[in-house]
Order: sequence, then C-alpha cells, then structure tokens
Amino acid sequence: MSRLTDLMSDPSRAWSPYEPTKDEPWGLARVAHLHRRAGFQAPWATLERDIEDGPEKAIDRLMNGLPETVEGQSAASFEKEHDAMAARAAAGDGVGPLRSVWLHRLLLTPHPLRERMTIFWHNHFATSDAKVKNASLMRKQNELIRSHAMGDFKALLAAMGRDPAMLLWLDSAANRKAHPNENYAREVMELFALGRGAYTEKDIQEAARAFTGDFVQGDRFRHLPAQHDAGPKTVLGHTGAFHGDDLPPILLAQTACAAFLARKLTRHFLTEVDEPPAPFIDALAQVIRDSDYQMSRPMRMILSSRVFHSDAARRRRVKSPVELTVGTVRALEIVSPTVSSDAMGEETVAMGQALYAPPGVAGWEGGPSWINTTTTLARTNFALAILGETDDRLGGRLDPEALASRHDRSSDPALFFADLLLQDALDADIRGRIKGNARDAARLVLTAPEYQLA
Amino acid sequence: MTSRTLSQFWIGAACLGLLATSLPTRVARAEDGPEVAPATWADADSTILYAEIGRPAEVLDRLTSDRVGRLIQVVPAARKALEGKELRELRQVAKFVAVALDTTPLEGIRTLTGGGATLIVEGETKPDRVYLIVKPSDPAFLERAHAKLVELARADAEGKGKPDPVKEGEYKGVQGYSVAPNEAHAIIDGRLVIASGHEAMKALIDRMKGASTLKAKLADDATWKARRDAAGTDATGWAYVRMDRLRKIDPNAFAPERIDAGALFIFGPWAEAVRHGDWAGLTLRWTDDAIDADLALHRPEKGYSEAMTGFTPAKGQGAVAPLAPPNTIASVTLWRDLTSIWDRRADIFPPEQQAGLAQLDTTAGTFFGGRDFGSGVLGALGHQWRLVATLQDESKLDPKPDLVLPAFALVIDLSGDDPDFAQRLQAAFQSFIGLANLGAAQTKAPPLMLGSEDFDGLRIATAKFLPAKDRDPSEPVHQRHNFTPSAVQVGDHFVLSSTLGLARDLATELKAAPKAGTDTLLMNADGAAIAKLIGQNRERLVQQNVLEKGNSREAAEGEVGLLEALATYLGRGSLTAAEAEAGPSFHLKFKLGQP
Repeated sequence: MSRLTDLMSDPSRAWSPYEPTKDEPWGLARVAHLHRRAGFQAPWATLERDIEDGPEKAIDRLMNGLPETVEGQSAASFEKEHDAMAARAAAGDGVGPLRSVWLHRLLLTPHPLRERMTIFWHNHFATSDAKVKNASLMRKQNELIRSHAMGDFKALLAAMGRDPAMLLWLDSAANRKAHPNENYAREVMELFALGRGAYTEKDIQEAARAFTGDFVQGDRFRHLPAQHDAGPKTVLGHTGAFHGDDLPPILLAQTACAAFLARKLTRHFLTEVDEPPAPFIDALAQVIRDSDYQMSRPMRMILSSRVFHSDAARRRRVKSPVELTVGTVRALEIVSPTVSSDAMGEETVAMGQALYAPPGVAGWEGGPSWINTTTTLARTNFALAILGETDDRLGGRLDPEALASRHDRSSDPALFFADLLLQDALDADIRGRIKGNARDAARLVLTAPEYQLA
Repeated sequence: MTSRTLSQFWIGAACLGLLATSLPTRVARAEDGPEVAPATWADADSTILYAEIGRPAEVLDRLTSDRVGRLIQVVPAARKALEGKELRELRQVAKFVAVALDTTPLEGIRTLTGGGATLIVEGETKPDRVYLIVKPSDPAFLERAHAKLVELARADAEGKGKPDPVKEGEYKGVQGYSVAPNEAHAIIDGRLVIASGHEAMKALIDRMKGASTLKAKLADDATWKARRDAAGTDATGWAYVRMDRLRKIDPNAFAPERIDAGALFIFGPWAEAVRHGDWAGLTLRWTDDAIDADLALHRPEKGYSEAMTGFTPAKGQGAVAPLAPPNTIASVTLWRDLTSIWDRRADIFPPEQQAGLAQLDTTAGTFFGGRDFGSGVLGALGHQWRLVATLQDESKLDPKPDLVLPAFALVIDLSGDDPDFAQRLQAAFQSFIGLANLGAAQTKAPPLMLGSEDFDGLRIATAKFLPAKDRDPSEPVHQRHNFTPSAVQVGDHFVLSSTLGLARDLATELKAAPKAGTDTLLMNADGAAIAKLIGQNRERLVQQNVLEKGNSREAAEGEVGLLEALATYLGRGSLTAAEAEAGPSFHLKFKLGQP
C-alpha cells in the first residue's frame, strides 16, 4: 500500500482542509504542485506570490482566474479575442488552425484551471474531428465545454445530447424511429455518466428509443417528431414517454453517476497510479450530489484537501503532452514573442495528444501510455528546441541567464532552474549534480525523467 | 578569406564611414557618372565581382525622400532602431565629428562619396582581396576629415587609457592606416581606398603606382567593357559578376539537383545560363518615381542544350501581352512549347521527378478520354500560357467568406489542329467537379452545383457551393465560398477560372486580338491591389502571424502593415524576360507608389 493509498483510507482526514503546519509547511513544493495539477507550471513570480499569500488565496485565484493576462489584457477581452480567432480558424478545412488557437489560448490564458477543465471534459466527452470532419462544429463543442467547464455538469450533459459534433461522432445524426441508434445511449451511460456495470443492455435499448427523432441537418440539431418513438420506455427503473432531454436527470439521479465523476476527478487531480478506496470516492461523490453537480464545489474540495497537498500526492501523474509543453513555455516566461502555436500543435501531436482528435470514444488513456520510445524522443526534442536557437518556431526566444537574473538568481542558475521546474523531485545528491551555466542547467532539468511527472 | 576577416573588413569600412561626417557643406559634386579608373587597377584574370555606385548622391536623395521615410516609419524594427539608444549615440558622434569639420552628417556623406564608390572582389579559388574605393567630390577635405577622425579616435582612446586604435605604416610613399586586423586603408590619388588587409593594400598600391604585375587589366577586358557600355552612364549602380569563377569557388551552389522541377519549368534556359554562362551583369536605376533593374546573363558558348528547344520562341515570336481584367493583382504570360518540353522530359527533369510526370500522363489520360498526354493533350495546345489573379469584388460575394481570396484563372491557347479538343476540355472540367464532389462527400463538405450561363454569346460552364439555408449570420463563412469554378472557350482560347466573375471579364477581354510580342515572359503586378488584398484580410493575416510566429498582436499588426506598405511603395511592377544577342535578359521595373 502506497503512502497515498494509506492516506486515502481515512476519507474524513484525507478530505479535511489542508492547513500549513510545521511538519507540512506551505512552501515552494506545494505551490508548484498546486499549479501543475490545477493549471500549468507557473512562472517564478507566481510561485513567489502564492507562497507569500498562502493556500487560500492561491486556490481562489486558480478557481476564479486572474483579471488580466501577463501582458495586461483584460480576461474578458482575451477570451473574446480568442473566441473570434477560433471562429476564423474554423472557417477553413481541418482542425489544425483551431488546435493552434486553443494552444495559443492555453499559453497565455489568465484562467488556467478553466482551460485544464476544458481539456478534462474534452477527454471525457471525447469527440474527434477525424470522423466529424467539421471544424466549425468542433469549435462550437469546445465553446460549449468551456462555458460549463467549472460549472454545471447537468447542463453540460444535457447539451451534449444535442451537440451536432457529438451526434456525428457517434453515428447518431439520423436517429430514426424504425432503427434506433444505440451508440449515443450506450456512450452516455458507459462513458459520460455511469460507467460500466451501472446499467443493462435493456436500459440502452430503451434509452436509444428516447433519442429517436434527433437529427443533425445543416450542421444543426433538429428534433423531427415524425421520427420519434413516442411510446413509453423504461430506463434505469423509470418509465415514461421519454425524449432525449428526459434522460440526463435520470442518469444524474443514479448514485453511480456522482461516483463515476468522483473517480475521474480523482484520477485527474490526485493520482493515476493509486486505486482510491470506495469510501474515499463516496465522500467526494456525496459533495458532487450535494452541490447539484455544480463542479466548482468538488473541485475546490479537492484542491483544498489535505490529501491533495500531501507529499505523497506529488508526481503521481505523467504530464500529458499539452501539460508538458504549455507548462514549460509558461514557466519559462516565453511570452512575447511566445512560441509558434502551429509548432506546438505539431509537437503535441507527435507526443500523442492531438487536441480535437482524441483516439477514440474513451479519450486518451493517459498515465504511462504517454511515454514510449517515440514520444520520449519528441518530449526531449521539444525541450532542446525551446532552449536552442536553431528552431525558429520554438527556439531563440529564451535567455536562461536573463531569466535567472530577472529573479535575482543569476549567482546560482542551476539551483534556480531546479527550484522553478522540479522543486523537491530530486534528492540532494542529484540536485547537486545539476551544474553549469543557466542554459546547461535548464537543459538538464527539462530532460530529467522526473520532469515528465506532474 | 574567411567570413570573419570579411566582417572585419566591413567593420573597418564602417568606422571609416564616419569620415563622411567630416566634410564641408559646400563642395563641388562629380555628377559625370562612374569613373573608370578602379577598373584599370582590377585584375581581369581574378575579378569575381565589380560593383559601382556611380551616382551616390541619387541614392542618398532616394533614401532620405519622404516616400522612403514613410516606409521606414511602418517598419517596426526600423522605427525601433531609429529611436534606439545605439543609433541615437551614433548620430550624436557623427554630429560631433561633422560640427568639428564645419559640415552636417548628410552633406558629409554626399561630399565624401560624390565621385562614386566601387567594390572589387578578387580571388582565384576564394575571395582573397576585397577593395572599396570611394572618390570624394573634394579630395582636400577627405584628407582633412581623415586626419580629424584619426585625431579624435586617438584622443578618445587616450582618455580611456586604451592603446592607440589606429596603426600606421608607409609603403612606396603612401601612408597607410589600419583600424582592424583585416582592414587597411589609405588616401591615394584623392580617393579613399579600403582593402581587406595589408597585403591586399600593397598589391593595389603597386598597381596604382605603376609597379603592377597585372597581366591584364579589367578595364581592357572586352566582355567587361561591353557590359559596362550596355549599362550606360546614367545608371545608379552597376555590378558585373563572373559566374564561372563563382562556380569554381562553390561548385555545389549551381549544381543541377538544386533546381526543382517547377523552377526548371519556369526558368529552364535561364537556369542553364546561370549554370554554364561566364558572367552576369546587373544595372539599377532608381529615380524619384521608379526603380528599374536589368539583369543580363551570358548564354553558354555552345548555346542552350537541345532539350531547351521548347523554352525559347523562334525569332519574331514570343509571349503576348499579359491579360488585364479589372482589379488585376498580377498577370503573367509565359511562352512555352509544352509538346517539345514533354518530348524531351527525360533530358530536362531529374530522374526522381520522372515518376511524377508518368503519373501525370496516366491521370491526364483519365480526364481526356484516354488521349496520349503528349500528342493528344499538349499537342492540341498553343504556346501562350497566361495566368492572372484579380481582387474579388467583396460586395458581390454572397455569402462573403471570412477570408477573401483573389480570383485566378489560367488561359491556354488551342492550337486549332484538334477542333474537338475544346469540348474535351469542357468535359474534363465537369469530370473534375464531379471528382471534387466525390471528395466532398467523403469529408461531409457541401457539393459544388454544376450549371451554366450564357454570356455575350458564349456558354460558361460554372459551379457553385450553395450556402446553408439557415446559416447563423454571426458565424464566419467558410473559405470555399470564394470559389465558383468556371470554364469557357473564347475563340482559340480556353479559360479555367476560380470564379464566374473573372471568367466573364476574361471572355470580354479575349474577344479582342492579343498584342503580339517577342519576349519569353511578361509579368505585371499591382502593388496597390496587393495592398488592398492585404487590407481585406488584415485580421486573418494578423491571426496567422500570431499563431505561426508567436508574435504579440501588436508585433503581428506591424509585420502585416509592413507588407501592405511595401506593396504600396513598390507600386506597379513589371518583369520581362527576353533572349538578347548575348544571352537572356530580364527587366524588372517598379513604378513607385506612395506608402
């Protein structure tokens, strides 16, 4: 049993709010961990500010976002500008440009947690343009997810049932009374709300009848009454002449639904390698239900908890390609000019994470699957490109000496980069071996195996 | 000579440029064009480059004109540099030196360079000797200015406790100076001579003082003289390059494999001239309202290879005038005998590109009812290949796409030997639309609806993407709505156009007989139209810049603004290529606009 599993075995203690103590002080390692998990790796000034302000203010800022970007643009203006950019990018063929816009947003967003949650739900309601083949619909789904990313899961689940990209993805764009399509009914139960084992095949067949009459025509959702099976259906013990919109409340009322989400959130925010005990999950699921599926409450509970801030919770996840690349650029303050978002798109695809094109209905597997010989090489090459001068789309923008100097750490740049990017991940012996000038030190840190972990 | 020593040479030359600040305001100007003297000191057997600016005052006038000033103001990097600390300091130093010599920096430069400047690069296997020879309008003040600059440099070094920065020495009665390891300069016969090192300087002094060991002077070289005479005395600048010696220095630079198939198709015989000709000459004329550049290449001694037959028109033939429909952005006419090129493709294109041509042969057969591509398709076509791009009228685009692309068209001539071929082309056009629709069905894109229109006695085949019935007006419109692909036969011409509007315009224009010419390539471009196109799509281009380069929005707007200003500045451009007696010649002209 790992230390983290041990801690999770006592849910009331694990979920109790973290308070700094002499043994568990609020410091660099905890602040950096908070940003890695609830946003992206943070630049030095942010880490210093949050160490100074304490956990409550740091978590508030992550939950609410900052009022403006590092370049002084208001958050509202930033979002509006990027929404417009995404709309323009979607007026062509393919999602490459759309991916670039999202990555540009990720690089500079003043609300990193909302973007992390947008990626979380993108993976949860995994939809790929490889099949949808409609950038405009993919963009609209992304906007829908972003608008509910930290809010109402009920609304998001209901909206997904009418989302044209989702229906095209699951072959449900022409759901006729005579031939009910079971795909959406199956996935909404298995992947979006309940998980395997919480429903029967009969439930799927009955739910599929409820979704008949749902079509996508002219890129829009249409309900055609003539194609709807108006007869009574029995789904998960509830009987009625259900339409598609009637099913989300039935699913959300299932005990399994909140538990399913709690398990996913735990895996995303806490650990990919430890199996949380049922009582631990149940405690979080209860909060999800109590909040009426307003996701900000369970998210705050996680980020404020003793278990989240325990030493044992650190580096229990493998950084996804987006976390790795965006976090690196943000932490190293490569802001103006920042790196090419088009190049970031190519890099993350090479590392196995093509935004807008997850590999299947279950999304990206995550964890150790991110790491193989090909992706490891891509990860290393990315780090070297960022630090080098030869790649004109990623490199030539970072002066490690100047960065260390800007934060009064030019006397020991090796230690600065270890603190900024790895904190307590290395023991004293290995830390001592990181030497040389700022660029050499940054290279050693960025290519360290520990750097691949969140 | 290494790049390091070359850069040291230029550093030294730049230091000496400060001399320009040290001359008096009112001195006589030499406006008689370039002097010949430097060519009498250049070695005909080893000169790689001979370049002269015969009228430096004109260059200064242009550079300091309001037109260029406005252009510089929109170049973010230039504006930043002008306002930057380093340039401010340099200006202060220049002003200080100029005041000390009773002049202004600009007048100083005018006077120093008033007699012209010449750059000579010599070398057998590498650029061994580089010379910059500057003739002032007033030699006496060159002496005075140089002395003053040396005095100030020494005083400055002494004040800072540094060693004397100016080394001195004498050779055959000439006092020489050096301010950098691979730089030496002297004032000889009223000229400022800067050389790439002491040995190079000694060699030139020997030549200038008559102790020369030169076997042949460049000034006596027949080719050099002919090219220089051709340039005339009114050129702003002129350059003569020995391509044969450049190839010796870097044989790989002109290797055939470096030229791809597309470039070879366009530049065919001219590429041969670059690869096998002995020389190239470039003449530049820069007036208030225009920039003219003439490039002359040497045709290889044995003429072009047999494979190039299809690239050069017979005497008296050539490309017709480029098309000029309304709102033309660019228009080009290229004379090419594709049947001849196709027949000799094995000799023209590298082996790795032969497979692509074989594929083209097969695919074309599908579109053209199984005809042989060479004789059946290309053989039915004439030798005039015309391509034109125009601005689209935004008000007529319904729905208006978020990115407004230019309309473009290819106009090909029919040889008349095959009266059925135009019909075959119409069928191929419809097959292409059908194929595009098949692809669209696979990607769930809307189809192109085929139709036709009677226009001025002609039948135009056209196709259109239908807009969605209940489109959200706030949503950007897809780029596909830029296109209404169309095809029309107009007499012996066949038009393939990206839009119906351009097809109509060309149908009207092509009814008039084309103006015959004797050039091989004719091209016109309108900077104002390009600037308008940039303006139409500014937001798109800014976004593309932000995402591609990582620039901030402000920096991206600056770069797009620069493109727009540059296009406006260059105004109307034209390029012609023709076969002159000595070889191919190119004439590029810009009728400058107001940025």
